[in-house]
Amino acid sequence: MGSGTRKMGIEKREKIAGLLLVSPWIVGFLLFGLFPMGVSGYLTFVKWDFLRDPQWVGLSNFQDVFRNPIFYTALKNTLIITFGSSLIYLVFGVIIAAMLAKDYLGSNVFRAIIFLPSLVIGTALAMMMQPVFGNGKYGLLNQVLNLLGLPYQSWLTEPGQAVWVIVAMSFWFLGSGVIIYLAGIKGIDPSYFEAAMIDGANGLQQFYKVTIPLLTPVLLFQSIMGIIGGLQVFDLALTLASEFKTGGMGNENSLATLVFYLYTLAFRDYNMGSAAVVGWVIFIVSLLLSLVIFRLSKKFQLFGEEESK
Amino acid sequence: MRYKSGLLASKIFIFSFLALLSFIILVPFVYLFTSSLKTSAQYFKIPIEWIPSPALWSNYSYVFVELKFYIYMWNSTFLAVSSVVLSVLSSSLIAYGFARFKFPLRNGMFILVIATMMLPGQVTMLPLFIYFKSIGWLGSYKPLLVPQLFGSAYLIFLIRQFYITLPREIDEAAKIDGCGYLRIWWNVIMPQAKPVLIVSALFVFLGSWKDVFGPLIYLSDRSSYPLAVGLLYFTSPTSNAYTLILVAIVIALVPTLLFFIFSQKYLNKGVNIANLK
Amino acid sequence: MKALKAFLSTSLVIAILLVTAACSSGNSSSESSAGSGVESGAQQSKENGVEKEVTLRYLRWASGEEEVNFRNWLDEFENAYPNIKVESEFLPYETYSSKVKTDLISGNAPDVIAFTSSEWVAYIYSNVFLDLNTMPGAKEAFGQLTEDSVSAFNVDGAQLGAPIGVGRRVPFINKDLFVKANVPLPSQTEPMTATQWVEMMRKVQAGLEGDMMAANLFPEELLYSLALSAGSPILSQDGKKVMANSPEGVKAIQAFKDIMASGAQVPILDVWKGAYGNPDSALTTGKVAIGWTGTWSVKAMKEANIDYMSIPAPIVEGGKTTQVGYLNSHAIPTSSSNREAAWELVKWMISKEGQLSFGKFSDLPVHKEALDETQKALEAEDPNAYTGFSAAKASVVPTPPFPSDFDTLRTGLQSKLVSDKVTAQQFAEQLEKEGQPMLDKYQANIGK
Repeated sequence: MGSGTRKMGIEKREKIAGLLLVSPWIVGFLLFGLFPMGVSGYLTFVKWDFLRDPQWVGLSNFQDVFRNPIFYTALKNTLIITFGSSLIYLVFGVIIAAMLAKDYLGSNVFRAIIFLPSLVIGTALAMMMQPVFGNGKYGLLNQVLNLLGLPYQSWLTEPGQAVWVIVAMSFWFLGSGVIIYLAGIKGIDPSYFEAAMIDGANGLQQFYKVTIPLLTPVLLFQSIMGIIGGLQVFDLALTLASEFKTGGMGNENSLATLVFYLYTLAFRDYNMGSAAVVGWVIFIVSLLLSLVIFRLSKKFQLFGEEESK
Repeated sequence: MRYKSGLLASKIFIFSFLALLSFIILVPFVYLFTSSLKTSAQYFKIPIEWIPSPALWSNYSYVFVELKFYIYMWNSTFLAVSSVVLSVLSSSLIAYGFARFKFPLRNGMFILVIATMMLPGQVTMLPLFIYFKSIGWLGSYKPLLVPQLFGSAYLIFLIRQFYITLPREIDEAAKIDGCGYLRIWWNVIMPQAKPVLIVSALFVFLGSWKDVFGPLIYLSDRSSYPLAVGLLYFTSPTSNAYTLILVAIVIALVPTLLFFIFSQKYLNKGVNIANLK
Repeated sequence: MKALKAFLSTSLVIAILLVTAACSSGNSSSESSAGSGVESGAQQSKENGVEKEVTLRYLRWASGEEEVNFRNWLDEFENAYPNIKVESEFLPYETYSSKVKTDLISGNAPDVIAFTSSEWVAYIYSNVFLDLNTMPGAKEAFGQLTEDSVSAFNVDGAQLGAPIGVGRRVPFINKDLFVKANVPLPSQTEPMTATQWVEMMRKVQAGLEGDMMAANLFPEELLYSLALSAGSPILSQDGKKVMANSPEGVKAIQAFKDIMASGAQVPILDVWKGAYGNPDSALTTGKVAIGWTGTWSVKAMKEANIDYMSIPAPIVEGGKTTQVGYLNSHAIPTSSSNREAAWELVKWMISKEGQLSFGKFSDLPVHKEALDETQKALEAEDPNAYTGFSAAKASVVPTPPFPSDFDTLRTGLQSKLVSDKVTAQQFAEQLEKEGQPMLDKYQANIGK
């Protein structure tokens, strides 16, 4: 009887403590999460130019969005960017982090340089990228192509090509992912590596057998963040599009992403209702893809006891 | 023998790969920096003049002192540091709750945490703006700082993922020593989590530093603007307007770079896991 | 438990302290930017018996030198009206556009806001703007302006905006390059036809060396003015209907194609951000012989020692001379708490005095007398720059408003036209078929 009640008492204490710890988030979620989400859900059914009173229009916003070819261009672009960049971040991010994990000559410098692009304020990006991609045949990239004897490309103005510029730029933005992986690797108990080395594993094998399995929770995190981030690409698309022409989404909307389209609808066309619809599309796609990743991660689960949901 | 030369080869490969990557990354920054020392006329020359002559170092004193950029820098620093403190503290506490405690609806709530990151900011921005207007918080730093009190979904997710890699035994050991939940958190878990906490601090700092839209719509007094917004107002009575904004961008990079370097040093001091015994 | 409570309450206190510190620091520091003093805080009006000092907030887009000129102009107003201080704010266009929207929603908008005609259109049915006809002296003030400009901002009898100036562009040529290429200088008063233009451009191109280009023209404006000259504008004046799909329209579109695909024009997709500057700055780069810009580029051209000359835009065979322009305006939000003072500012800006100053650094005045004087003075002072504008003096047509997806559609079609992927006829048809629904949707959103 005695030990039984004690156990229940501990469990109860744990429940209360846990809830208390999490309570600030709950409050925040209700205030700053549920409330705006609810309002934006409401907005999908109204016509609102945010100055006059909203008018109920039922499903007409949904019809407008899903019948608009621009939406599908944006969707296609966004999916390309999402999968492309997530793959690059995941694969190259871990590899580069592993390369940088040990402290050898110059490793600090490399870390700083690789992280540098993440420090740049969004509005400044365009000015920095201009000489690389812009300037017609005088653009840096085109000059390099010229040296290699290849023809010039109009990187940003050729419809269909612009999206791949964004995907390629993921290499430039690897830094923030690398930092997280680095932190993860640093958190691995060195005794694991020692044991592996004693077993005769070389660097590559250590990477596969020790680093990756122990980083699984972080990898899961990064994949989901990669998906969410990819689906929300905006700053980059905006700055690159304004290189082409102010006020558009690239030549024939070639730089349109879902969030960019949302922004255009809300802030240029005064169409908050349709913008909210696009917002929810992004939300639901994120949710679905994240669930897929969760399922997949369970299959490949190698470490992390508390993952089971 | 083969192993050793293989090791050397792989080291060389790694080094050259990183060097190439660094070069690619650095090019636009070099362009940024050298251009910041030019006049507007020089800036527009094609092909690009890589080393400006003369180099206008005066651009920097002009921007920092005469255009009063130090005010924007102070505002940015204040906002960033406050955000870091509020956000990291509350998020790590909340993550602790998710990682180490079982309570009803825990998993569902955690999924919600992740879900909140999936709705793009531009959608929630307008409803939030109107909400803040109705409680009279416009024109102050409140809409930017108070929400940090309640934790940031990104941090909660990240830190929780790290917490669960820490073996339960260290909690058990502390419990046996008679520590209460908070003591365990502060004295046992947190020190182990230094890497992730530093990374979190870095990200919050950067997020606040780079945030343009938030301050732009919530603040109306120009003297309270942070750097990110100050950049937008950039004009000057001389014909160097185009290059002066580049100076501002470089100045804006410096504190974040310093913060990063500082955080790296701290991380490298080593994380001593051996204390679990 | 006790530790938990203590911790939570401590952090709460810290948080509150931080947040209140944030509030006070956000309001206390003041800063003066180069040029003019920016006072922190909102409007103050103190009655010391006789005088009331009012501070107005003014918002406009501007960049670089433009801002300086505007500030000086506003200083003139302050000198004339010592009781009114103007706290002005200038932003890059995109940012200005977002700020205007959020300011208007928050009800905390500046007292006087500058607008382009297309930005202004989006707000007219939202009861955002004050009817200026209700202000004292309105009739006299507006009576002195050109009728077209006033009516452009009148909605069902309510004067929801005050026009301020008309920005116009015409082709400018680099005389030296023409001489070098042995091409006779075009007339400054008689417009050439599109065919003659193509011939001229090709001759100039043949005479240039290296990678210089004969022309960097403004595609949208070129198309628009050709269409106008043919009598079939691309869009109706109110922006509601696509009008390009007509025989005259197609004629103009074909003329546009001939010019843009002549081989002497910068590739259409590189017009704005390529190696040849943009139509406004093309001449200043020294690498282009024909640009397309307005009076605002004259100073830069002078500084770059370009021997410039303005000429009229090309017209279609048998067409009439017209000119496309931009009508900018100012409006007073109904939420302003300083209406009378705001009106004083607006009234001054459209008075002869204000307009004459304005014309010295910006667009052409809308005040009839000031316009006359300004044009005469400009032509006398610099016939090379200003005579080209006079050819179309009488018929400036302001560009209609259109949504961004229509703009994208048009740009895409333009480039397809120039690269022979669509014919002129197809251009007109597709523009109408795909563009009209875009216009309709936009109008439905911002309309009554």
